[in-house]
Amino acid sequence: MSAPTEEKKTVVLTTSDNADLTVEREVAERSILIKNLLEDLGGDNAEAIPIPNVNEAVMKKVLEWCEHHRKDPPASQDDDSDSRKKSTDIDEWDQKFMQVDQEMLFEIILAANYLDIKALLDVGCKTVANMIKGKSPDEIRKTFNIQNDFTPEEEDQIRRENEWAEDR
Amino acid sequence: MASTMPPVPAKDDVKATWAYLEAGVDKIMTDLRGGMDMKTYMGLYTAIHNFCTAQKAVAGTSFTSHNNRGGAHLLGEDLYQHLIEYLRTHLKGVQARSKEHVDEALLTFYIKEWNRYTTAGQYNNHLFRYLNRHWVKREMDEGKKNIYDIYTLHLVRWKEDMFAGTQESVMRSVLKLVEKQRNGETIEQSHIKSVVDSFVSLGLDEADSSKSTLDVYKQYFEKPFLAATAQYYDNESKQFLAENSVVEYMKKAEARLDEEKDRVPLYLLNDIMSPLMRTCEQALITNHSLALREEFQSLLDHDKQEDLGRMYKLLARIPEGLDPLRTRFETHVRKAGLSAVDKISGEGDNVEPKVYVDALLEVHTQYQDLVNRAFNGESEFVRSLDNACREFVNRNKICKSGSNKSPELLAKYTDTLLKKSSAKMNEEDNMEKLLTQVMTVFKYIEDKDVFQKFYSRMLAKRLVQTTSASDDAETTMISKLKEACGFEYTNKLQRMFQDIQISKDLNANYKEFLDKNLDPEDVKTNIDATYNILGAGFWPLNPPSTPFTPPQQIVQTYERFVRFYNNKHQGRKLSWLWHLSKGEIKANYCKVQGQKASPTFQVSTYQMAILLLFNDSDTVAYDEIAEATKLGKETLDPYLGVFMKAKILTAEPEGAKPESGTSYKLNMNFKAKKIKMNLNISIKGEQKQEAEDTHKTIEEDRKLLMQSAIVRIMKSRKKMKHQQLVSETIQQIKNRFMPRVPDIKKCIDILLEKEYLERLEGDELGYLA
Amino acid sequence: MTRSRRAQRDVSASRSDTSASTSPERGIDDDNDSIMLQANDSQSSLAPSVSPDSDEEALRRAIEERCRVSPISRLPAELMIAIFAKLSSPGDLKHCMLVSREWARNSVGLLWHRPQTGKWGAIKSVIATVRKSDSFFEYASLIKRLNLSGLANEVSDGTLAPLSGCKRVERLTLTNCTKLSDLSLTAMLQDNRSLLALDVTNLDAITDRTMFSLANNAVRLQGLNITNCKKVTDESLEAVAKSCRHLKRLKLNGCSQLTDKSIIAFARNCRYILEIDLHDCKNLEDDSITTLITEGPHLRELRLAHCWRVTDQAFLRLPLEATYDALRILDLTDCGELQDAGVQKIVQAAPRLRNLVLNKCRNITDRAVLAITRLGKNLHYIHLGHCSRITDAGVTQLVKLCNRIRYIDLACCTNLTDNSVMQLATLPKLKRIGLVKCGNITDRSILALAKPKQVGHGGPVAPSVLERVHLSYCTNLTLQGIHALLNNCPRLTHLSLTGVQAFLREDLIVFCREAPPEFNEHQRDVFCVFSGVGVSRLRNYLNADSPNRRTPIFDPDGNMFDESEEPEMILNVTAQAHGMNIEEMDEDFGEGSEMMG
Repeated sequence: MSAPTEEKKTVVLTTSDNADLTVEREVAERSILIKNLLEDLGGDNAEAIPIPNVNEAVMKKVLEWCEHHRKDPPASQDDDSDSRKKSTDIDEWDQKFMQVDQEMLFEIILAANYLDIKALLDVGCKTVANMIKGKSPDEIRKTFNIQNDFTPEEEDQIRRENEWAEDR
Repeated sequence: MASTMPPVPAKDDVKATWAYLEAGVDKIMTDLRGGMDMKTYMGLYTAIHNFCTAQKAVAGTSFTSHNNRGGAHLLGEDLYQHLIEYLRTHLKGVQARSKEHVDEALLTFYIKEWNRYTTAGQYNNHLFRYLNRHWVKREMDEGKKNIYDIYTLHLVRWKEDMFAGTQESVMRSVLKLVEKQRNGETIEQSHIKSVVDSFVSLGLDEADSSKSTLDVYKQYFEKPFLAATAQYYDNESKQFLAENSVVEYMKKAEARLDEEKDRVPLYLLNDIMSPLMRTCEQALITNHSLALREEFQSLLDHDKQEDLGRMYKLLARIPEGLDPLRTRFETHVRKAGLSAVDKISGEGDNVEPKVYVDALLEVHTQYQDLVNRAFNGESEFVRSLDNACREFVNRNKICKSGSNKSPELLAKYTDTLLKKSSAKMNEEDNMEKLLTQVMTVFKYIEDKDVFQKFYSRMLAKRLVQTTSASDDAETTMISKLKEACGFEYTNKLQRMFQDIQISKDLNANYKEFLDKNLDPEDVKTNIDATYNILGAGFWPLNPPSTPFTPPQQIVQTYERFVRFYNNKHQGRKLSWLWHLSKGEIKANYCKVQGQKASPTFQVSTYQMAILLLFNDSDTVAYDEIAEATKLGKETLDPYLGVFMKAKILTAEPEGAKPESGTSYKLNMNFKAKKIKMNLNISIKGEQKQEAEDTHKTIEEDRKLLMQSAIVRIMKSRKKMKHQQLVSETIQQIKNRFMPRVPDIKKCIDILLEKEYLERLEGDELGYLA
Repeated sequence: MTRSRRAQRDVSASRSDTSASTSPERGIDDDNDSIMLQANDSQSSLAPSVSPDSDEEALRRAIEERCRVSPISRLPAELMIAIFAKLSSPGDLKHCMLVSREWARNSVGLLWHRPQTGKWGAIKSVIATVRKSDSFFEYASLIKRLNLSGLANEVSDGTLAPLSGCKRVERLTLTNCTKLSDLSLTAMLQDNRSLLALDVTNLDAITDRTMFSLANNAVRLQGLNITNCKKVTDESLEAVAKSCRHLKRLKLNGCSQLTDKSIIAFARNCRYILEIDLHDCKNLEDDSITTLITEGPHLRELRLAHCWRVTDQAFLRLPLEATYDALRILDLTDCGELQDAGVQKIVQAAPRLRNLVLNKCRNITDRAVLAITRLGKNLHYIHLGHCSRITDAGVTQLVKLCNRIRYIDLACCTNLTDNSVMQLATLPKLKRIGLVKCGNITDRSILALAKPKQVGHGGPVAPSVLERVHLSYCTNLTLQGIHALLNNCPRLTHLSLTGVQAFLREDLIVFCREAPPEFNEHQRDVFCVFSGVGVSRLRNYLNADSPNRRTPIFDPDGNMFDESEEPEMILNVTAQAHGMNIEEMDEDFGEGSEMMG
């Protein structure tokens, strides 16, 4: 409260597995959920913020991303405009950041979605999209360990019904 | 409190989830002041998140379902519907409680509830953000109706479940409060402001609920507010006018309008300014505009500038409010101008130019001042003033004989200003002021070409006779005219002025030349002379009207100059304007009374020729004079008359008419009173002739002007309808004079005859290059 | 408290477990495969059959297991959709549809949002699928955008009719599908409440029936383009105006039957109109224009080219002090009745106009131009072609007060002399200048245009940014001026010199582009337009040809543009990219005035 600007304000996040993580407020506020919470409740008391849906390992990873992107301009209000571009370009740091096993990758995506960090969610979705691109249905199933629950007739039907869809 | 919250429910259980949420939402609605801790906040958010993301475990809509042919399905609708139900019930209670209050208490209640509710709405909007981001967004993208983000949903519910039932009584209370204030009481303005804000917030854009419109505010606030305003001022103004004068009423109305204008920033929406003003203007001005206008003439008559100004300001606010005033004003000014001219035209036609111009100016000045002060210098009133002035300047009692009179008198007045002889030498800035006044009148003169004619003749005279007061004043005047009428109008004036300047240099050169080249013998016979070379095309001067043999004494002198000039400018032809030349001769035969010196006569060259004859003989016969000078009888006779009158010559036999047989004798007993005596008096006949000439040339010049305008137009258009050509011609020359249509038609006929134009089919004329 | 609560939340707990157990050593493919097989077995026995009531717990466990072996299964539908939305290729999306039922459900909407309709084969396939009664999904309701303009006149009612089951189409684009009639269009519009934009440009067979159908159904409509639908009348458009109140963009070009009635209805009912194009609606009169402006607070663009009956009154009747700040573009081409007073009022009422087209408003004079100067820096684009009464005085004042002009056309302003062009040459941002048939101008003008400009006051001297220069029928011009222009305007991409004798030379004509096919013999003879590479070829040729290469016309005190320097070339390229938008607009007007000859 009385802290001068140099001493950065921090908040404590309590993860689902009960770890307390201290983090600069500016970094934590990349999460709109946390930002709104601090605004609504007045973030000046020392109370820890419970994050019941994210465990320590994932939270640390998310915070690493937030730290790196702390100075990014806030996402534009009109979020439709960038999703429409469909670009799957990812900047180099983010690409490296996303080089994790699938387990972690999807946990990050879920956490980003829960915590409302749009840019991180975007990077996660792009990463997955890149894993899908150019693969046959079978290759996709293999990649993500998905069980084919179609009957052969159904599969054939869908194939026929979507015959027009080719790569442009 | 967190401790009172039940545990977070199973994510796929709607009932449990909503029960959990409802407790939280209710706390936010009813007891936000009690505070909320982070665990509760996160618990609520997480419950919603978990519910929405748990679809896979929900039986029936699970991934096994076959009938989901519409594609993806998102969860959240259940929560949304539950929230709506909650808000409905909640607001029902609020509305019921509102019935317990009236007037200001109701406003206090409404505002308090509104603030509480919208704050809670913002909270809920954050807690339900996951729903907003996914389920709500998708539904809206799909074009589903009546789906809003959670905050907007709160507003929609308020509008339906609270506002609809209370707005009337709320508005009634607002209007009571405003009426109190209009009656001079102090009120709690912030109440009204809050109500306005609330009504504005409820205006949701049908097309895009993230935007707001003023629809709700306009219908439920602005409309009744304006109606009440109209009612209030209708009553007040009628009552006030019944008890007070119009002048007093105008003060009241002005104050009320200011008051209403000041009210807007205090607690109303800026948007209301325009309709509010219109409403007040209707009640306070338009409804009483007849009464106001009726007062106008009396205010004019008594020159009540302040009240006139107030009336102007009031009526200027309503559409077409001023038009009737302008017409009346124009009439009034015209009458004033005409009666001013009437007053001075008492002694008949020979009105003094200065008196005339002053009379015109006085009226103009008075009403221009009024326009500027009371009517804000507004251009329409300026135009009315101009119209009135144009009328009385061109068509008044003195102009009865013809509209030529005004330009003639104005030109004469200008002449007196610019002439050296005018008694008081006008100070320079005073001169500037006087000339500006001349231009003021000039602006209204319709026959500008008449002014030009007279002006140029008088300028020529001033220049030739060197009676001009100052070169500066002359150039100032010329440039003013140029500014008003363009280069063409003053072209000749400027050239005349230049000719004189050039002649000055020429004379100096000639003097130098003489000093160098004259032998002593010549010096004796040479007469000291100055010459003006005037370009024939530019000067409004006629050639001499009589033959003339110049006296031998000056022949040598002027021939020498001619040689000098021809040498300098080969191929130029000089013709002498003897009737404009003058000189001085010394009368050696007599003395000025009481002095030793002989008198000097200032004479015209014609007079000089006559008098020089008496060097050879004291008596000269009429025929001899006529023979020697070759002067025509109509010139010679009046000049002899001048000498007789001055007692320089006497006729023999005494009293004989100037005709063959009469002789003239030099009066050796002539008693001169002054050293210089001016005998060069212009003859009456000459003056009159001049005025007639001027008018005659005007007619001819006009014809030429019209013809050249027609040719110019046709040259650029090649083809034109007759009627169109006539109106275009009028357009082009109306700033010189107002041409008459028959005159233009005559000119067209002349041009057809001369084959500048040809007739084409269908009333069209063509240009023949 | 928190702890105990967390303990109850099984899934998040299990999720934590799995993520906690995530270790780099784990995740070898073979391992997963074996588990996968197991899972397959257990699920295939469970999933397709109707789940037994008592089996909820078993189902839950199955899901848990699935999430463990296939982490992507944890993502809710909204996230799967977000991922699929990043895929731009329909091929990829189709493959996603074939992965599993769930994937199919979440990707089908994206794939069918805007089906491919550019080729016959694709269209046929789409139609075949949509027509099937027992298709896997309800594809028809998933189509949001439908564009058949690629096949234009090959499209018939028979093509469109089967698609009429697509009731949730939001954008329907049928530009140039001239064979279509009311028959298929009314069927298409019937019961569609989702339509946002309809483009039926050049469908001259359609009538009021289609428009009535639109009015009865498309309550959300925001954009309507019925260019050249000549059979459409006021009657149906009034209905459209009354029910489609959200209209923002309207193109009614060439709908020659329209009168004030329908336009006033639009103005009164559709308060959100941003753009309206009424090109060639020759019956329109002043009332509709006045109403459009007064009633439409958002109106940004108003195009009235060839609306002959429009007069000054359209603008003089606007309320006295009112201003319309939103209005940026006003096209009054060939509104021949317009006079100075009208223009004066326009400028007063719309002080933020950026584009003003007064081409062929022949009555206007310098007075109008002086009024226009009040737009000051807002004015970027001004067209005064054929306003032959304006003079150097007007142009001089215009340049002085509106120095951000990028585009100016003064074709056929025959009074203008070199004095005007020398002023115009000082405009720092001028990209395009049209001086067709300004017969008085000489090389002096061209040399002035070629001269580098000073940026700001005392700023650096930069080469001219001129891109397009139209000088046809400026018969006094010679090679010298143009040569200087070429060498000093690095961005020049268009240079027209039709009818200029000095350029109708065999050796120069070879760099000129082809005359348009509709030109007659005489027009071909005098045609002389250099564009694109033609300009640089002409430049190179003249430079090689002339004895002293690159004649320095200006004092060589630095800053003269030098083609061979690399940095300049880079600048050149970016500038052209920036100029694209304006370029497109240029074509319409620039060439128009040239073809007059």
